[in-house]
Amino acid sequence: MTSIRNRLAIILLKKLDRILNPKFENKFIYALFTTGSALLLYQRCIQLVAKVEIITESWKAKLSLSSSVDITFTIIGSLLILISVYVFIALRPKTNSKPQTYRNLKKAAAPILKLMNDNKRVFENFGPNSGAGTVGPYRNYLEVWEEQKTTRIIPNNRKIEKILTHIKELSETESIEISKMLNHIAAFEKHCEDPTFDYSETQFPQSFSHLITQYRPPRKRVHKPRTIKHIKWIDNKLSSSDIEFGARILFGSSLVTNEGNDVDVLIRTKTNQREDIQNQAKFWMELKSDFRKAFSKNLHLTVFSELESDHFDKFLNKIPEPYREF
Amino acid sequence: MAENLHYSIPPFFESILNKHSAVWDWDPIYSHNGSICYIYELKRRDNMSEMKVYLADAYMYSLTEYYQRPDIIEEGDCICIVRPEASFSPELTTIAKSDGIHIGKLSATLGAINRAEPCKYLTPPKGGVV
Repeated sequence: MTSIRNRLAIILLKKLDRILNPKFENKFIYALFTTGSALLLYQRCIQLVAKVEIITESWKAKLSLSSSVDITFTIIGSLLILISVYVFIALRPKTNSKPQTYRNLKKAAAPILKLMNDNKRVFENFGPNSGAGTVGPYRNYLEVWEEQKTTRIIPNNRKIEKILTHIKELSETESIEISKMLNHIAAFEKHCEDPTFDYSETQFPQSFSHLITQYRPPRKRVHKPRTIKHIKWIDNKLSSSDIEFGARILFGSSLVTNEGNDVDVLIRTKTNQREDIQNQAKFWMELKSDFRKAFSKNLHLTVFSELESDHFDKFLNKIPEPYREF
Repeated sequence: MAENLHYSIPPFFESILNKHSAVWDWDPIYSHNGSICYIYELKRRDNMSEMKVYLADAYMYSLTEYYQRPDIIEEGDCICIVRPEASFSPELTTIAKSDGIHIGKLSATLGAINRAEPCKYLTPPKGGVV
C-alpha cells in the first residue's frame, strides 16, 4: 500500500515539476514558430477575409480590399520558421546515436572498473553491512542508502550493462561472468522497485569483479633518472636525522610513469614512544615542505612507527609492483 | 592531509550533513595554514556543543598522520577516514580517544555526531539489515 502511495506521489511530483519547470527550449521553439507563422500568414488571412462574397437568390455582396503583400514581414516570418526548425532538429535527443562498442572485455575493463568502484564506495559506506544500517539513531543512514541506490547505483549499473552488451568478442568464461553480472543488475533493480523481491541468489558476483580487476590496464615501467635524484635527496635528509629506520621504500607512479606530481614513500621507524612519534611528525612535515621546494613535487609520506608494525606489513602487501627499497 | 581527496567526497559528505538529524547548520573550512583541507564546523541540536569534522584521505591512517592533523582539530572533534577501504590501528583509536577525538570511517563519524562526546561513540556491530 505504501509502495503504491509512494509511486503515485512520485508521478504527481513529476507532473508538477513539468508544470513548474517547463523545458525552456521547447517554449522558445514554439514562440519562434508561432511568431514566424503569424507574420507569414496574417496577410494571407486578411486577403482571404477581404475577398468574401455572399451570394443569395435576391442579392450578391462582394467585399474586396486591395493590399499588397509586405515582403519584409514575409522574409522575417520565413526566417523565424527556419530558425525554429533548425533549433528543433539541433536539440532533438539523439536516440539513434550508436553506442560505443568494445573489441573485448579487456578493452572495456577500465570504464567498468570506474563505475564499480563508485558503487563500492557507496555500498561500503551505507550498504546493509556497512555498520550504518542498524537500528536506532543509525536508521537515518538507511535512508541515505535507499536514496543512493536509486540515484547512483542503478544509473551506474545501467551504464555497466550498456558496456557489457556492446562487447564484440567474449570467451566462454567471460560470457558466464557477464551473465552473472547482468542477472545481478536486473535483480538489484527489481529489488529496488519492490523491496520484497528476494535477490539473494543473484547478489553482486565477486568473481566478475576479480575478472575485471585482472583486466585493469597494466602500468608501463619507465626508467626515470629523476627518481634516483629523489632517492638521494630523501636519503641524505633521513641520514641526517636521529630517527632509526626499519624500512624505506619508494613506490607508486614516480617509478612507473613520467607524468604525475607525486612521489610516494613508505617508511617504518623503530620509534615506539608516543611523544617521540609526535615530535617526529614535525620532521616529516618539514621534509615534505623541503621536497616540494627542491623538486616542485609532492612527497607523499606514509610513516608507521614500531607500534604499527602490523599496519606497515599490510600496507606493504598491498603496494603494487614495482617498488624499490633504499 | 586531504589534498588528494576524491572530488566527489566533499559534496557527498555535505549532502549527508544537510540530512543529518543532529546537525542544524555547518560551515566548511577548505584551507588551513596554507594547506588544502576539508574541515566542517557543525552546529548541533539538543544543546550539544559545536564540533569539527576533519576529512582524512589516507589509505592507512597512521599515528604520524594523526599528529600532523590540522591543529584546530582538538578535543570533541572527529577525524573521518573517508576512503571505505582505508584502515587505522587500534593503538591510534586508543590514543585519539585519550585526546578526546573520535576517529572512524564515514558511517562511524555520522554516528559519533549524535553523541554529546563524539569520542565515546562505539561503532555498532555489523549486521545484516536490508
